[in-house]
Amino acid sequence: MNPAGAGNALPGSGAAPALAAHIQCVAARADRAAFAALFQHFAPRLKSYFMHLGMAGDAAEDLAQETMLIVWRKAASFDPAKAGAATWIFTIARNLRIDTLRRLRRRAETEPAPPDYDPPTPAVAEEAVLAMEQETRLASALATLPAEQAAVVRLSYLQNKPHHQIEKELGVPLGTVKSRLRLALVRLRGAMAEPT
Amino acid sequence: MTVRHHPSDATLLAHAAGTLPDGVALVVQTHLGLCATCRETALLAEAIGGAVLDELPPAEMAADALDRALARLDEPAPTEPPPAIRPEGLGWPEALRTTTPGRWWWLAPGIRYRRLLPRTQAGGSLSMLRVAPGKALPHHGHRGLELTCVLEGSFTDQLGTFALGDVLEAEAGLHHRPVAGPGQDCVCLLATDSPIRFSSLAARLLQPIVGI
Repeated sequence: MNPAGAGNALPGSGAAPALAAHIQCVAARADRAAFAALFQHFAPRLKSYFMHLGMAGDAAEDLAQETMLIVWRKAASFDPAKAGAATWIFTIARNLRIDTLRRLRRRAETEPAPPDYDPPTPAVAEEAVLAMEQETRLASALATLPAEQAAVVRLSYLQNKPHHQIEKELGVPLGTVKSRLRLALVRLRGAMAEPT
Repeated sequence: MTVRHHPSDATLLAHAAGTLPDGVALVVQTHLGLCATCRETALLAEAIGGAVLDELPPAEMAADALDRALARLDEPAPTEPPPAIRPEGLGWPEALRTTTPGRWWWLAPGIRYRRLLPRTQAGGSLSMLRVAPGKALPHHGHRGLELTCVLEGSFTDQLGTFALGDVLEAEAGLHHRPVAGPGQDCVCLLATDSPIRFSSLAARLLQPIVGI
């Protein structure tokens, strides 16, 4: 990790280890400064994420706020050996969005919350470093995918539609969408498996 | 027992992205509970989600956004509701514990079904089918995506034999006729993101009543 090389670094990738450490500081001692740093990095991206998925600016900002509040409350369940900071926060945002949509659909009913995250296991320092390196490697691999593969991958996450409707978006047949996704996953899987 | 038939990479990615209809997502979740290979892919897909989030151009937040967030940190966390009671029966998949199964209905000779989720506006559904040995499901096709996951027994169609944990992912246009294997009932989950179209008139007439 070379913070001085940020000029040619990918967006956010150089910050990954620091962000993971911030989450651990929040967990360990309710560190508000660490939370503020996480908020500055992630809240604007979360708002952007929710807006891509069709939410109005105000609603997206509210949900970004809610996501960060859950980050604060559940910081102790973050396991850096299992997932990087961005990955963990992504899953919180995704679940919160699904819950919110579901609540809107079934306003009248009370329904139980979806299964929670796995109980945290003690982090092994070495594995934690590995997970962070993997997150960085994955970001670079995503940035170097062939354009048409990267497009279907991003659309899978940033369109509120299942993949078989992406074909209409891109004007290519479903078979092509699926084979591009398959090829992209092969490359991204390879990037994760690379020895350090 | 090894799982041999899996959801497509595209479906696993959509599941990680959180864009699948509820019923289809629960079938994928059930499969993940039984398939280590796809669990690996699901973890990768979540990591890709993290990378996609991290590379998004930041949106402009309200000027007091951070102050508002900090002011809320001491609010008491909401209490989590208790988990739903699981229906009787062995091997009820963990993924289904939040569903509310309806009673079993007769669909055709040797075929019963029950609904696990209410039908959605777009016509998606999640049902459980119980098919007697050797019985064929009514010939059907579909407009959207249909996922079937075997929970007990097996069935065979032109794509092969499907046993515990196997998922048949059928796209729009596929017409198939699964037949339950010998010896025991085949119990499977069936989720769609749009209404199934049975080819026979009798099944079409029943469809509005049974609601799959």
